[in-house]
Amino acid sequence: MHWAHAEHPVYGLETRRRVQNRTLGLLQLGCVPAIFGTTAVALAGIVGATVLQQLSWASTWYDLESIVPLALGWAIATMMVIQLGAGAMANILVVAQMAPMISGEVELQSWGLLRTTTLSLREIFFAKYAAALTQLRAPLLGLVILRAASTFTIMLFLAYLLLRQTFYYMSQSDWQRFWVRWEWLPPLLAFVVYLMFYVSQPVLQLLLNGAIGMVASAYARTRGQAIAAGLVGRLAAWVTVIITNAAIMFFLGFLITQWTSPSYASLDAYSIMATPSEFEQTWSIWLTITGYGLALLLTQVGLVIMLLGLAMRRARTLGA
Amino acid sequence: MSDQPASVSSSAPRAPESRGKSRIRTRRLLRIGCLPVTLGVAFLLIGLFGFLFSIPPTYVRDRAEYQIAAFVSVSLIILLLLQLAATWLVGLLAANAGAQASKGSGQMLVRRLRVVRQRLAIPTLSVVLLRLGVVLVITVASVFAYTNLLSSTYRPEFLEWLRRDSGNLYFLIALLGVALPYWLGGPFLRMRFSAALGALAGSWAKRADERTSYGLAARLGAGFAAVLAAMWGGAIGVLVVLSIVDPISRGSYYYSNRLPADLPALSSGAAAALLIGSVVLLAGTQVGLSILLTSLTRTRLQRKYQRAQKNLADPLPGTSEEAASGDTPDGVHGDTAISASG
Repeated sequence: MHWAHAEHPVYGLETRRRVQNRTLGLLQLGCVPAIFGTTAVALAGIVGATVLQQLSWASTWYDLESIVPLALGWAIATMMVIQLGAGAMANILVVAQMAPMISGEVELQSWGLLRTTTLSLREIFFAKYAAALTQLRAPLLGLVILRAASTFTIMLFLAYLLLRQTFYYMSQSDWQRFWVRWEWLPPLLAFVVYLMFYVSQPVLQLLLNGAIGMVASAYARTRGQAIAAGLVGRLAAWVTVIITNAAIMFFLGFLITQWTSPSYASLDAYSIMATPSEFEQTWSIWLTITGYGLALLLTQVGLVIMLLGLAMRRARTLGA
Repeated sequence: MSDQPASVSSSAPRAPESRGKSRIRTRRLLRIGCLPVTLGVAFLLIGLFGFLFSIPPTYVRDRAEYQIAAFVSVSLIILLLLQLAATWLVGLLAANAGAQASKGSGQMLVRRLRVVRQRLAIPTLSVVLLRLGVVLVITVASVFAYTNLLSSTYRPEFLEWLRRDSGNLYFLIALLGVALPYWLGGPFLRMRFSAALGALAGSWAKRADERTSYGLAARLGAGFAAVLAAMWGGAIGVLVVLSIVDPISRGSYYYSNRLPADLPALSSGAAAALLIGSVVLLAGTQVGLSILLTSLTRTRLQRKYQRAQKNLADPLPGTSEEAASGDTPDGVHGDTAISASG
C-alpha cells in the first residue's frame, strides 16, 4: 500500500489540506472525549440507578443476583444507543469527506491535469480514499473502544443467561445430550460469526461509507452535488438494508415454522413432510442463523469492493 | 511646527501582550468568582425547590414534619447532585491544565503541576463547601431526629439506623474519623490525580492544540474505565460466587436454599474495618497514582526533549517539525508559560 504514505504526492496533499481544516480538526480532537464522557455519564447514571433501586428492596443473595442481568441489560441498551448516534454522525462525516475527492477535481478542472501525471488511476484513487479515511482515525478509535466495551458487556450478559438460566436447570440427561451429541457446536458457530460481524462493524461501516462517497464523487459534476448524492445514497442504503433484512428474517422465520410444524403448515410442500427431530431442528435453525450472519458480513465486504470498483471505473472515463 | 503624535485609531488591533493580560485577568476573575457563584446557585436551587416542595398536600396532618422533611430531602439531593457535577468539572479542568503543563524537558513539570493545583484550589474549595453543606444538612436532620424540637416526629430511615446502631461505636468512630475527612478532603486528591493524568496524556501530543483533547480524553476515559470496571467486576464476582456455591438447581423451586436466607448484618468492627479499608484504598490509589503518573510524564518529556535536541543538531527532512512542536529547552519557550498563561 505505497499510496497510503505521507511521501505519496496525492496522499500527502490531501492529508495536508485536511489538517488545515479547522472544523475537521476540532471534530477529530473532540470526538473521543465526547464519546467517553457521554458513555461514562450515561452508564454511571442508568446503571447506578438500577443497582440502587434493586439494592433497596433486596433481602437475600438471590435478590442480589437479579441486579446482574438488569444492570448489564441497561448498560448494553445505553451503549447501543450511543453507538447508533455516534455511528450515524461518523457515517455522515465520512461521506462528506469522501464526496469532494473526485468531484472537486472535476469542478476545478484539475482532474484531467492529474491524470496526465505518471501516477496511475488506481494510485490516485486509493491515495485519495486512504487520505480521507486517515483523517477519521479519531472517531474510528472512539467507536472501536465503545464497540469493544459493549462486546464484553454482551458476552457477560450471555454468560449470565447460560450459567444461571440455561445450565442451572439442565438435568443429567440434558447435559449428556448437550455434550455427547455436540449440541454446543451450532450455537458456538453462530456466536463466533455474529461476534465477528459485530466487532468488525466500525471498520466495515467506515469503508462502506467511504465507498459510497467515492461513487457519488465520481458520478457528480460538482462538490455540492456529490455531497448531496452521497448522503442521499447513504440514507437509501440504510433504509434498503433495514427493509431487506426484515423481509429475509421474516421469510426465513416463516419457512422454519412451516418446517418444524408440518401439521400446521399452510404450504403443501411442508405439510406432507415428517416432523423433524429435535436434533435436526437444533442444527438446522442454528446453522441458518449462522449462515445468515456470514452472508451479512460477506455482503458488506462485497459491497465495499463493488462500489470502489464502480467508482474507479467511472473515474477512468472522466476527462477521457 | 512640532509633529503631532499620530492618534491611535480605536479600530486598531490590540497588541498581543494586552490581549494576553486581558485573558489572564478574565481567568483570575473566573477562578475567584466560581466560589460565590457555586454557593449562590446552591442556595438558589435549595430555596426554589425547597419552596416548591414545602407546600404540604391537604391530607398531611403534621405540616411542620412534612415541611422539615421536604426541606431536608430537597437540600440533600440538590447538594449531592451539585457536588457531583462540580467534582466532575474540576476533574476536567485539572486534566486540561495538567495537559497544558506537559511540555519542555520535564524538569519544571513538578513546579508546573504545583501551580496548576494552586490555581484550581478555589474551584476545588467550592466542591468542599458543597460537601460540607451535605454534612450540615445531615447534622440538622439529626438534631430534629434526636430531639423533640417543634414537637415533630421526623424520623428518616438513615437516622433510625444510626440510632438503632448507636452501640455501633467502632463504625461511628470510623465514619467520623476516617470517612468524613476523606469526604471533605477527597476533591483535592482527585484534582491532584486528574492533573497528573492530564499531564501524562498531554505528553503524547505532537502539537499544542492536541493537549486539551488528550487530557480530557484521558480523564473521561479513566471515568469510563472506572464505571466499566465496577460493573464488570460486580457481575463477574456475583457469577463466580453463585457458580461455585450454587451451580445447579436441585429441585423445581428457584431457591435451592444453599445460600443464607437473608443478607448477613456486619458486626461493628467488621463494618468499621470495611469502611476504613475502602477509604485508605481510594485515597492511597489517588495519591500513589498521582506520584507514578508524574514520574512517568517526566520520563517521557525528558526522552522527547532529548530526541528533539538530537534532531535539531542533526536535522533530517521532516524532523524539524518535531523540534518546533514545543519540545524546546527549558527557559527558552515552554517554561516561561508558567507566568504568562492565566
